[in-house]
Amino acid sequence: MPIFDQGYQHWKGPLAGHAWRWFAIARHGVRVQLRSRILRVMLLLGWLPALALVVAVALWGLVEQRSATVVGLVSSILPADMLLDPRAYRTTFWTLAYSQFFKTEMFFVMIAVVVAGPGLISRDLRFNALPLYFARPLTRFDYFLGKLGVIGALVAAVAVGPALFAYVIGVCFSLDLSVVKDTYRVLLGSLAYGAIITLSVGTLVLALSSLTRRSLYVGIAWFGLWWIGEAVAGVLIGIQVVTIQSELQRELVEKANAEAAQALDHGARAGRGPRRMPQDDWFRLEAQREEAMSAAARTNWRLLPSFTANLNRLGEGLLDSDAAWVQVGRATERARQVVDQPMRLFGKGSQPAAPPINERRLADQIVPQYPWWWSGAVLAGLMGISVWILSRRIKSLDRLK
Amino acid sequence: MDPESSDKVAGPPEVTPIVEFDGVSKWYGNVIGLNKLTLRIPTGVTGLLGPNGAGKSTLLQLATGQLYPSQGKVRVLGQSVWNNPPLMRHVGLCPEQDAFYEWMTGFDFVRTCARLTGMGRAEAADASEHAMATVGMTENMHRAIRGYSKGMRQRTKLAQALVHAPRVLFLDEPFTGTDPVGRRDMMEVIRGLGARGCSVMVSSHVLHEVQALTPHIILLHRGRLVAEGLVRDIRGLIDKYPHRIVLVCDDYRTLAEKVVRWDDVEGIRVMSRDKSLLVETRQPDAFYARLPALATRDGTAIREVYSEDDNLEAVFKYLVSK
Amino acid sequence: MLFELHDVTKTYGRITALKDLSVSVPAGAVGLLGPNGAGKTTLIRTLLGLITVDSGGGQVLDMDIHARRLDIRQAVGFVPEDECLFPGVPGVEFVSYAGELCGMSTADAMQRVHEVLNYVGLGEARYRNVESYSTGMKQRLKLASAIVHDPRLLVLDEPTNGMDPAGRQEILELARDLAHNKGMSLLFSSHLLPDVEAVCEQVVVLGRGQVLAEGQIQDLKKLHASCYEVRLKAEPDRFARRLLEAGCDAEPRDDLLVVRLPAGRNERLLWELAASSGEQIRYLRPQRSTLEEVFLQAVEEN
Repeated sequence: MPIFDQGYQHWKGPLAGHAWRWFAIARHGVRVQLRSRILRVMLLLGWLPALALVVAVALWGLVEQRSATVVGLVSSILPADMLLDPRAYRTTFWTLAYSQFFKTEMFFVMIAVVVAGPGLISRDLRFNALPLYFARPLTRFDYFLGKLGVIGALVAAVAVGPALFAYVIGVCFSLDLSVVKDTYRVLLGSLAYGAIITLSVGTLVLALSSLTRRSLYVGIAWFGLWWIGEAVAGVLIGIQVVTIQSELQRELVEKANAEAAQALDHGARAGRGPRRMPQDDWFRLEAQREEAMSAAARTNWRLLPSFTANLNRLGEGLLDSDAAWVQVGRATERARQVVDQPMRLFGKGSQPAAPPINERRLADQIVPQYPWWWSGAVLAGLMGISVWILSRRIKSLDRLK
Repeated sequence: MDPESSDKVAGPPEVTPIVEFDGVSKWYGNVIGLNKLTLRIPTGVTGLLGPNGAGKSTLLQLATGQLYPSQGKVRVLGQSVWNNPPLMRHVGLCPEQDAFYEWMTGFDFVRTCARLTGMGRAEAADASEHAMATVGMTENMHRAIRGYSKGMRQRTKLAQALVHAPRVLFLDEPFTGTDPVGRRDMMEVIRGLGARGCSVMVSSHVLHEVQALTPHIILLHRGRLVAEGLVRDIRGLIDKYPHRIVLVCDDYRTLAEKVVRWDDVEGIRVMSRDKSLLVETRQPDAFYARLPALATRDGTAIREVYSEDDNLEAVFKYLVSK
Repeated sequence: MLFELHDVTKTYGRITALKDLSVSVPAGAVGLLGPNGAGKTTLIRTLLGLITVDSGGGQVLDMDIHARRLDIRQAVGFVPEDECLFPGVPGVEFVSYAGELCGMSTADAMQRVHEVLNYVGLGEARYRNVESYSTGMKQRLKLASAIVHDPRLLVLDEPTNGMDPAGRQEILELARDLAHNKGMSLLFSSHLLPDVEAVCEQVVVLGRGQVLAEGQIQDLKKLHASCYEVRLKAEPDRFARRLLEAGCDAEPRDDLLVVRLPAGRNERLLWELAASSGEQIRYLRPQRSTLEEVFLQAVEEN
């Protein structure tokens, strides 16, 4: 055998097409980020809500199969209507379970992104990796897409992956393929929501990352955006609630004073006639407050400053959790009605007029009611600004220096 | 041993050394920077060479008073250089690092440095203009340093080292990033300073630049002084490697026949492509002495003669290869 | 043809980086010289397909610079001048990533990486994180990542910047080996003219966005007929006098004598004079302009 030339060897091998370049960048990014132990721990913690989701849909499957132990277990949590006819409430339960999962998981996604996200572009800027990237056959778009892919992988690992896994487990536990027909909206909604989270969170963290060479500042900015946004939204809503409440109380006090003045005018009939029970007022106040809040909720812009609230709003819209809560509301209200009627018949109790049946009460309280496209517009605007920042910071090499 | 000796010193002869190191050692914890260095540097241009980690930056920092020797004494212009601000008036340093106040103009920067050495306002402005003109930055000196190219930054650094007309000048890699035109101009400036009685020490990795500036070098390796003096003298002292001399001749094989009979010739390599011989000898003086007689004889007309390793690259390689 | 450009113009605002530049370079090792601001960086970026020129066109390795920019970068390797790194990975993954970015599969890249790292001389250090490398090692790493996909043209921008003499020698030897023995074309841009001379056979000199000179180095370095550079063992004054008496022109320069012989005589005259006066001639070569002189002349003519 002739002696092997130990110098430079030429190489001719297969090359992947240009379409796969972003994938190489994403894969490398994920590999580098996974070296950090903190991220691995965060991922593990992020799987806890996923575990809860899996358990929830599995239990529901068992409820549908009328497994006595399970029914006994959940009878204290769920309204009786749901347990009597689980099939009818299947969509509702799945929707609510997923909705709650995503709301919890959003926290973990934000934390995972602040661990893995800031270094994505800022380190490349600090170590000047961009000339190395651009000397290769890829465009700026490939670079951005690849970095976004790292965030996408993160979201998939923390949110979308577990959601899919839970779906499969749930279908298995239902032993009934028609469950797919009832809940496909949940599946598609989860996937779409994952995509929206990736795009929105991803572009934002990449834009912040491209603004500075120190990842620490990006982390601080991220926390700032997140918490200050939530704080501002909370304060605004608090102010609104207190305002409405005090308005109503003032009206009530004015009316009571007016009536008392009238009574005095018509001669003092002190001590006679049934005094109105304070509970009456209280219930009436409650009812009025609910009405006022419902009415205000439809145009309540006060949640918009919070980034996560915007994402949640879109998620709720995609999963249609409003309808699900209405269903639940119907079930709980019916139960209350059933209990109340007999009590009144027997004159037991000076149970005054309870608040009227309002199946939308839970939905109005829990699900934001303002139009989804407001949140959509805010997120789209943020995305637009992020993309603009990225294109300004990562300049192509078509310049003088 | 080559009995050749030379009294050539770059610049006007002056016996008093400008910079003196006397048994100087410097260590940083366990790491040794310089090891028993004894050195006398006269006026004129001297090259400071050595591989990475040899101690060149330590030497420069000790000579400019930025470090205190762990052992031994460092003297510049006869005085100890540590904690001696009046002495710094006569010392200039052009460091390797690139650190400017980016918002200042070049002129402002040099003038500030001039004021820092103790010059008055008007004097500093004059001196700065003069220094910027010397390095060829007159047209650009009123622009912010932020917009300077690498070559312009180097020139500004050199200007701030020269502005106070120092007697001792230390230049650390002064030619990085400069193009050949700029380099030629800066070399002329440095040679001029050396000729006028300054003592200039140029530390560089680019051997041919140092060779073009001065034949007088200092070679450090692993913190010790390996060699000092003229390149040719040093080469003469290296016994381990025979001198390699190239003879170009049309009839090279006949020449080889004749040359191989000489006692001092240790090896001959035939380079047929260039029609030349590479001769190795440990007694170059004797060898060269016989050449004119040989060349005038028929059949051995020597067209070219030159030494392949009588230069700085070869000396460096022979002395500090690992 | 390695690359050719026709009337390429590129301006950035008021600054014209390239002005009607036309050049045609055959395959081989070509040096790119020019003063600062001459447009070398812009030219290199044009050849890599990284910028859109205002007018004119050209081809690199028979690929059009407008239409096939990504393909050009597939066949070209680039070693940038400034410090660049992919952060946070050991040397092996660094070069492997560089290969994957060109489309190599992970398995292919891994095999090739070790071959290439052996070639550039990076030993056990390849398993350490790249942030801990010295300047010389980083330069070798950049070179390795530029040749991992076996390019046909390798562009080196000041590759010996900041390296000590031993490291510089090794990089130049690698470049020479690639250019002369392995059939890779080279574009070597540097301010250090002896480095360029050591590696390249041809050279292109740029100035103010135009080509000032181009061609084979040996052709550009004119031979001055009957002119010789001579150095003696002793001081040249005495010998200079004897040369003048013999009818030659003798001019001292540094420690040499530049001698012009009278018509019809060759260097034998010098040997005869040396023999008769007992001088030792230690250096005798026909005068040839150095690359530096060629460069300075080209720049100053314009």
